[in-house]
Amino acid sequence: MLTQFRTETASASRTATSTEADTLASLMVEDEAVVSDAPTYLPEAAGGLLLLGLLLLSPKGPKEKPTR
Amino acid sequence: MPFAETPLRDEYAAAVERVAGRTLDALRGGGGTAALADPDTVVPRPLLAAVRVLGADLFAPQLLTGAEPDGPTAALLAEARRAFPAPVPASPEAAQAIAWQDWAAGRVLARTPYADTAPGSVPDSASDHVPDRVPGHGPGHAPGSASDRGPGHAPDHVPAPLPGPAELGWQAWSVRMAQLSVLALPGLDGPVHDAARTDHLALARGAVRAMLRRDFTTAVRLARWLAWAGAEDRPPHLEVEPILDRIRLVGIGAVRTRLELAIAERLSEGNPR
Repeated sequence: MLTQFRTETASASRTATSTEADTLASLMVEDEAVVSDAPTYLPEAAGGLLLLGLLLLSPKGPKEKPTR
Repeated sequence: MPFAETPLRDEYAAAVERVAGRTLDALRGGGGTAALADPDTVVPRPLLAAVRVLGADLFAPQLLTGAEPDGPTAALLAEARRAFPAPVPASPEAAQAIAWQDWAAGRVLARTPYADTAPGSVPDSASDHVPDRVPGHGPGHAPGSASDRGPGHAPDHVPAPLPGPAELGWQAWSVRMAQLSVLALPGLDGPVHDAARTDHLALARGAVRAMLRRDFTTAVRLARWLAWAGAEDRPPHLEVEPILDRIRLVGIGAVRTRLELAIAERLSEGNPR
């Protein structure tokens, strides 16, 4: 019935190897990710970084002269 | 030409990303065809494998806009299903998930002239009581051409129904539902969809758990189910939009996951059912 596509290797009826089948199975059924404490991108953290930068750039506070 | 031999999984996973990207472009473009391969051209085996992996999601651009599945993509999927029969994974749970994914692909293919290409070794445990509730294919619809055949006439066997959250616990059940997110498309209906309707609360719990675990792939798949149920006017146990916003904001790398996110967004916006 289907004639308009040709596969790269010989015929489409070539049986999938066990490696291919295993690969397909792992791609079709993905288990949930393991829990990790790896740092992830937090867009809200950009505000914190900005605040930290402003604090570092701000002028130092006045110091009291030592009295003798 | 690759300079070094890449592992097969990497090669196939890259092909899945490319095909998902094409499908995503078609979805954002308003429901056109993905144009995965030109007719009368050589189809590389990784492309066939990718088409086999994505299955019914290839037709999301059409199904979400109420259009019929496009012929070239259906032909390619039928070819992929012939080239790659249903793999037999190690665990029976994974085999059942693959069987349901194949069922979904078969149901969509049943609406095209390529309905007779069922994968060879679909586990056919089970039941024969699956209802046909696809809109436009009801009992009053006269059977005729292959495109008129209802999904009940599809050659695919119906896999065994999933155990519910009462048997598995809502954590394990929600993970298995996430593996079946490809079924959350307009025009598909069956026992898995009934379970999603009945156990909506377990889906919501699973989505929250996945967000807390930072497992955004599982989270977006469960949010897709929640959006699907919301499109059916099910009472919401959890708002889907904040989850989708959060996942979009975090930025997920895999194109396949972005495709699921786009489908969930379309479902939450409402779609023709």
